[in-house]
Amino acid sequence: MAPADEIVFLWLNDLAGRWPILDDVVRLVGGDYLLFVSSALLLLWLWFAGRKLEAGIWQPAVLASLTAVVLVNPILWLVSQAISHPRPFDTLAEVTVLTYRATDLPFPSNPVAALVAVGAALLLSKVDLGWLVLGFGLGLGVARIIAGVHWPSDVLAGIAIGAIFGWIGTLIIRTSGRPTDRLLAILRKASLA
Amino acid sequence: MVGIWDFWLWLGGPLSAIVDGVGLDLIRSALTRDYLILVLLACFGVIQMASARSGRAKLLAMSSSSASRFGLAFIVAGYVWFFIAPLVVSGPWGGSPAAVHAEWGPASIETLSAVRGVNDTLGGLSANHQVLYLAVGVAGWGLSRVLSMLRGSRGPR
Repeated sequence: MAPADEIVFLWLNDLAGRWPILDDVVRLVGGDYLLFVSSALLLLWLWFAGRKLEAGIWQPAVLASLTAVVLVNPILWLVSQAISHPRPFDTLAEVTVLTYRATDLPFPSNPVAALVAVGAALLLSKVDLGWLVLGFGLGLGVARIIAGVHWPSDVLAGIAIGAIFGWIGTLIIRTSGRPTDRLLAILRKASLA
Repeated sequence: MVGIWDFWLWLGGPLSAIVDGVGLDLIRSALTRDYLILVLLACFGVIQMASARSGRAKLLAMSSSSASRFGLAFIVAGYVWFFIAPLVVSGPWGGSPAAVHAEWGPASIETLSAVRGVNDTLGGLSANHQVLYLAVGVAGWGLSRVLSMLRGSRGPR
């Protein structure tokens, strides 16, 4: 493990177990549910909330986000197979672990990459929601370092891969033209969009 | 004694059993049930709020001004159910927060934030399960559509 990675990890993980309130926040923010469900609900809101002209921009942005998440998953798996290292609690003697001890490979951080992919795709069409979801991704990453389950490099790699695939998802949807338009037209006829 | 929440548990159980191809697991059943309730309530609430903003009469279950308020209430109710209800509703989260040592009972303030932190190898929901169950949000759309039709809503959208 790179010395800088270990230093930053130890500095952040040192915050764990000191204040019960912070531990609770870290468990909630770094958990498997809060930020993911919230991001999905934001996408659902964006899908239905746009008035005519807005919908023409926001709904393709949602499709771009979903495309980015679908595409990023196999890449994350491939990267984790190529570059693997153990989790902090399997490496260092004194790590405070605030959540369950995950058994899968930590590099890159899959949940961070997924949230950043969504945020990056939204950022190009709905700036405020894009930054919000990017904030979710960053918050999740920091929380999982404090919780003792990820190295900072896992989180940074997740952010980088997620950002790239957010852009790729947007590119695919923006250049797809007619298929996307036809899909949206069919969904709108059925009140599904 | 078989109570209403035991019945609800059975709604989550078969779904997770179908997806997993294995028998009922108490922790996963409870988590599945609560996650489905969260998704259904929150999706319905979001659709109402969004439809009120965009003027989609075909999805509004109530007047536009009510939909914004009640929509938010549904979303909050979903989150409260999932993250706070274990304080008063018994489940496999009593005693120690670690799933493997959990007992049947309500959670305490000290263990509440750890109640949902269960590895998917011990009964938690994997990312795939979560995405699959998000499809229940379609029921939120269906409910909106049905209630809108019952109200006799008309409009281009």
